Amino acid sequence: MKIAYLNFPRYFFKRFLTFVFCFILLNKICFAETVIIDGKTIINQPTTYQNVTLDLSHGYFFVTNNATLKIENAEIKGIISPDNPYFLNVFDGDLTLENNIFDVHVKNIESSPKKSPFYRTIHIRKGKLSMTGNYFTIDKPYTVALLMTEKIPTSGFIIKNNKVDNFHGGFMLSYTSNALVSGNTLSHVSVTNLFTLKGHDNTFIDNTVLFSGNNNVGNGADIIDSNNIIFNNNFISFGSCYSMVVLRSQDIFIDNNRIIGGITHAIYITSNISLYDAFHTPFMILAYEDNNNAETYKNKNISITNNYFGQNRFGIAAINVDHLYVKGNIFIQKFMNNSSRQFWTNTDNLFQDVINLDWENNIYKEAFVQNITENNINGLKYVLYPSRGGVIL
Amino acid sequence: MLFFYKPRSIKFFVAAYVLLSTPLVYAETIKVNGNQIITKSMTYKNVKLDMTHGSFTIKNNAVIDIENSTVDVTISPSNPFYIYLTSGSVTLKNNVFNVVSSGIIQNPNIQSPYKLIQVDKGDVTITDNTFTIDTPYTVALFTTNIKYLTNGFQIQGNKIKNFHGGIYLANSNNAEIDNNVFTNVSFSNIFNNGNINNYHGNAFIFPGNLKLGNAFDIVNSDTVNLVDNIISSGSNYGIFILGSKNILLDNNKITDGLSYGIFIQTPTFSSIKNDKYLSNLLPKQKLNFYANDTITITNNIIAQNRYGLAGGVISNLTVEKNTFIQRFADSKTRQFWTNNHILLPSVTNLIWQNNLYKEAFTQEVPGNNNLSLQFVYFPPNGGVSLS
Repeated sequence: MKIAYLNFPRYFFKRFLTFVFCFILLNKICFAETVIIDGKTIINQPTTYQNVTLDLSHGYFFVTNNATLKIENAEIKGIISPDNPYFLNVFDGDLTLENNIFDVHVKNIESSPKKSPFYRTIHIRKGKLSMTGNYFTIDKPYTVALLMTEKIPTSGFIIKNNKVDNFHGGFMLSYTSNALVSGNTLSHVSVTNLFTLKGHDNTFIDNTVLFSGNNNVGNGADIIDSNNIIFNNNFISFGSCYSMVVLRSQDIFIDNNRIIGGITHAIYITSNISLYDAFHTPFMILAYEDNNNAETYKNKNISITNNYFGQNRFGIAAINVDHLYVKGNIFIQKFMNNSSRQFWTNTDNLFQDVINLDWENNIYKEAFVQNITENNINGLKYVLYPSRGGVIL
Repeated sequence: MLFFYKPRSIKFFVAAYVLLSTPLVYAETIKVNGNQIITKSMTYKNVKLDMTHGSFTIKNNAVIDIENSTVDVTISPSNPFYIYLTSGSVTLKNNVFNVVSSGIIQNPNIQSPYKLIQVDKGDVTITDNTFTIDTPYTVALFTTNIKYLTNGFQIQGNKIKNFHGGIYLANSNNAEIDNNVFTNVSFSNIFNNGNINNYHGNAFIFPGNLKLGNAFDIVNSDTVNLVDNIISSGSNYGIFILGSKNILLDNNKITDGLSYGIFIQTPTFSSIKNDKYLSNLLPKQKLNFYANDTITITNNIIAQNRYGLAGGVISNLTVEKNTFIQRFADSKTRQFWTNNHILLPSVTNLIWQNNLYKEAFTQEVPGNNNLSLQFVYFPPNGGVSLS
């Protein structure tokens, strides 16, 4: 009796501590703290948000003074509108985003699929970016881009394993070098998905781009005025513009990608894109208009190897290239008749002003039919895709 | 000064000697003649193995470990396999296998009696190798023996080209088959008869090699996950399921195939007997098939195959958040071939939610895309109507 009596406060205290601990833990897990960001919220010293809900309905972060903003395991929801044009605006500093869910709502912004995006979720003027394992979704298509940089050189971005749905512009990297963009999945993203303008030494690997252009305007990948770009093991499918555009760029390595089901060319290499393409689709990306040196600037050292081009309307077209290396690719297309096939697989028609062309071991196969009544006589063989003259089955 | 430099010079000399004499620079060539019975552990690293007239049979729980090597193999009627594991363990890592088929008649329509690696019992780890054979439709890559239960195989990161049969797992459980690339592999690229097996991130180009064969054959199996695989230009079905339950197909991309993206067949004796492929593919031992039950198909893209998803008798089929992309000559045909009354006539407890349809872009020049620039809801029955 005496001992039990003495132990009573100790038991009580232990149970009380356990209760408090569990309460705090459950509270943390079940009811993440909501932080409301109101107006332009300046980050000018290292700041971290973890396991919180950030409400950006009426505010955004402005990172300056070389500060670092880190957001991890958070839910970020809010509104982008003319009054609140960003979620994250890095004027000068570093941004790290890991394992967050971004739920973007749009207010008072018109859907404009044929215009370049003005609004963007993340804007980086100067600084570093690391974003890994995030999920970005937006409620209204053709309105807001995900990520844009400015005409100030940035370097060393890491963009890995993110999922991006429905934005009007994906990873729009201008003047960015040494970026690693890998393992991301972009679905229904219009205007452009993987984009490098005036960049160098950027690597795009293992990305999946589904429905680039979102049944409207926009390419899977745009490599513009850039050099030393590696583009490997990506999957681009059902693009409603070009799957890849290479414009005035050098030392570009395009290897082991699968480009499937696109409305037009799988890869289009050119020194000049007019504002309207052959299908009278307007290209409104400002970058395309910035082509003063088009007459003198050649694409140079473009290597296209081991890719699978399946059931796009056209395969590769190239204009104004010095040293184009096309090897070990598989082209699967379908044509109404022999003359059409021969014309649209003839590099004499598809390539203009290409000097130093290396064309080796490329294979053509007629696509299997999808119409029920047709047969697959032509679909059941591989033939060598000749360097000139077009494919004859 | 010389006194102080001498040890450094010796170190330099030794280092240079070791470096220059490593197998990486001068890989030792080992010639194996005849069928070598391995009864104790053997390791080959950084060598060139000449197996043009030889093979290994592993017995008595012995271990064979081959790493970072180049292996030249000839498979012929007199040398019908490269490795035969009767009991023990095989580890193959970072090797390049150049296989020549000699004296074997190409036969795309029947299963090959010749196998590069044949397993009865034991452990298998095969990672980051390249396997290429010179003649298609002759030799299978890897098979197990249905008479023996095997467990826990790890086959990951390999490149497999031109074989007549890829990975054939009969009576094999808990396998992890990830990130392999199959190119121009005829007959079955992956045959699964076993439980709790995972297939993640594999890629297939031309399964069937324009003749015969599916990318996946899931037969008489329980709890099999196919996730993040890419199947392109299959000359039969992309994924075939026969008499299996608790099967998950998630986030796969099946494109450009000659026939169905996914086909789930009722396991009846007559359907198997009358099917040339199945009667060749299935193990000769009688299988007691499950009824097709609890099959979940989610987040897949099934595009530009002739047909999408169809099946026979199935209980508990969930089809959710898939995108179907096809192309039809007219509305009537489209509606017929996207109508689940026609495609899935014998399903009890079908959950069909949030599936989309998109008409494929035309490949014809000229040809218009009026119908292709929209996603529409793929209804659970009645077929897709586009306006």
